Amino acid sequence: MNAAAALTESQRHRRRRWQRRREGALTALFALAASLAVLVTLGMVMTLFSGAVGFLQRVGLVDYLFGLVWQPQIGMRADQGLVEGQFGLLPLLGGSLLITVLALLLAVPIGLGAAIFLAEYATSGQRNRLKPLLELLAGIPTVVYGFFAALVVAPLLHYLGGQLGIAVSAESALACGLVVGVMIIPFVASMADDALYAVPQAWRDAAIALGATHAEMIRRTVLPAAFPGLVSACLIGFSKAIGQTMIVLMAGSLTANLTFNPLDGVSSMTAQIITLLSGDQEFASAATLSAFALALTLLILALLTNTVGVSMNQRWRQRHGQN
Amino acid sequence: MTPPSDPKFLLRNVSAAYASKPVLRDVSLSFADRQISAILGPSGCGKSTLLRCLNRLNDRLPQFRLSGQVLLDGQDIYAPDADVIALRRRVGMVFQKPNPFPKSVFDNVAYGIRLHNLTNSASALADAVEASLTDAALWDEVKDRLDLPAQQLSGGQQQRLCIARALAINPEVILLDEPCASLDPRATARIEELLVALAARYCLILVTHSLAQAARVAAVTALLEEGAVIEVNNTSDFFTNPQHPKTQQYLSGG
Repeated sequence: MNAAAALTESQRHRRRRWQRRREGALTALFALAASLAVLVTLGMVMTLFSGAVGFLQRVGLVDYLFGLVWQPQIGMRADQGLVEGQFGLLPLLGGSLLITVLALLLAVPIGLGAAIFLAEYATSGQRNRLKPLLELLAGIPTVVYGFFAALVVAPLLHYLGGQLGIAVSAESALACGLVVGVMIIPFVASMADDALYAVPQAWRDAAIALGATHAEMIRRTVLPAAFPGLVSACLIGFSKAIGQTMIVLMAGSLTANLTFNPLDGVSSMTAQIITLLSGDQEFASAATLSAFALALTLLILALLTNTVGVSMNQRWRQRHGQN
Repeated sequence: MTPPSDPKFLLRNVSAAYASKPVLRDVSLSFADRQISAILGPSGCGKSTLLRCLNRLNDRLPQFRLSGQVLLDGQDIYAPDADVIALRRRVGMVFQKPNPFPKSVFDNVAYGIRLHNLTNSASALADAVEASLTDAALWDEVKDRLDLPAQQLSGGQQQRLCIARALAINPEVILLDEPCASLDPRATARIEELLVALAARYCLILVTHSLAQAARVAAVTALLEEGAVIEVNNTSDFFTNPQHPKTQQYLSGG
């Protein structure tokens, strides 16, 4: 009796030790997964950084940041002569921002409008059918949009411009911006819908009970209350648009023009990165290294916009006492 | 009991249903002006639905159906040509959980005033906000921090702010849907004191699950069970001399 009890006791002991080890192993596994994500990101940033430093040693920070001409193609290989290209960021930054602004001009009103319809006017049945559709749209590969932009929208705008006697480039920023805008509508709409839907029913009731019409309730209560979420939705749209590569690569211009005319062709930072890194190139050339600088610039731009958005939301929360 | 000769609100044979589920059955009640009428009843008996019929807040539910007549000063508020916005300006509401908007104390009270363009200058608006906060017995506590986010006030203060918000558009009736349900006893006592004071000027209709609260503040008390009125009487008679066996059972905690 005693011996049997002792035996089970030691068995229990062993089981407990095994359990502890298993818990420890699992913890380590998850910690590894978490640190891997961080390490990979860190590694990427460091690679970008060292590449960008190598580039800036050849070109110079001022020439990069404030240069008005982007022409990396000259003398891309040593045997083509020793002429270095020109690496002014402004035409590409301008092109990226122009396309992004055009895209947001389309996507923000339509996306917010769609979200307001979904969250405030649609019946629950309509919402349950439309919301998954919207999320499906967000999953269309961008190369499909790029195809559409290059083969339909850009030629169409070029043709229409010709009919009206307006000079529209066959690779116009407008075409890129419109298609990028269409691409980001589902992202903006879905996030904005979530933000609106999360506004408590109690506030809607209070507004209606005070004699607000449905539209007044939305404008005076729901939209202000959802403000932080709506800002996030627009930020997602911004980062999707500025990071968009395929559409601009396929439908945009390859030469970087410094222009704010949406009817001209522009290139973007992302499209240039692809052009610079595809094909056979000498790795240590300024042209190849400039891709690192562009990527780092994009990263910093994304960080900056995020910071602005986060601080906007923080200020809103301080003012309205929500947490 | 004798119904008030000239009731503010009069319900005649009101029945209501969500989808096919009946919530109110043939309710006939009247609520007098310048007093507190309490509606008691167990959870799910339809007392909140009854209250929300009086400012047509149920209209927003697509499956809601109502029959019978609801008269405010003799006018049927469900008549086809009735103006629901005008109705809600006359009939304010305070909810179970304090629900101030995520705005400042001032902007909460000013909400309805701005919505209906009741004042035409900033100083008139400030005066109206002060008057409403004073009437809601909150002014002294918030006068130095009108810019404070409303959600930073205590629960009891938030509920008095919601009362001030309702008072700001000069209603005639105030519907109170268990206004003290989420408050501690001290905050509850302050709200009850305030309601008694407001009863001198408004028709107050108070839904509550607290027998003691109805006994403390109401002039008339009604008991609702399963959507039907069981008994209505002067509050003292209702509690000391209940007529209906179901009332006796409810009062004894059954």
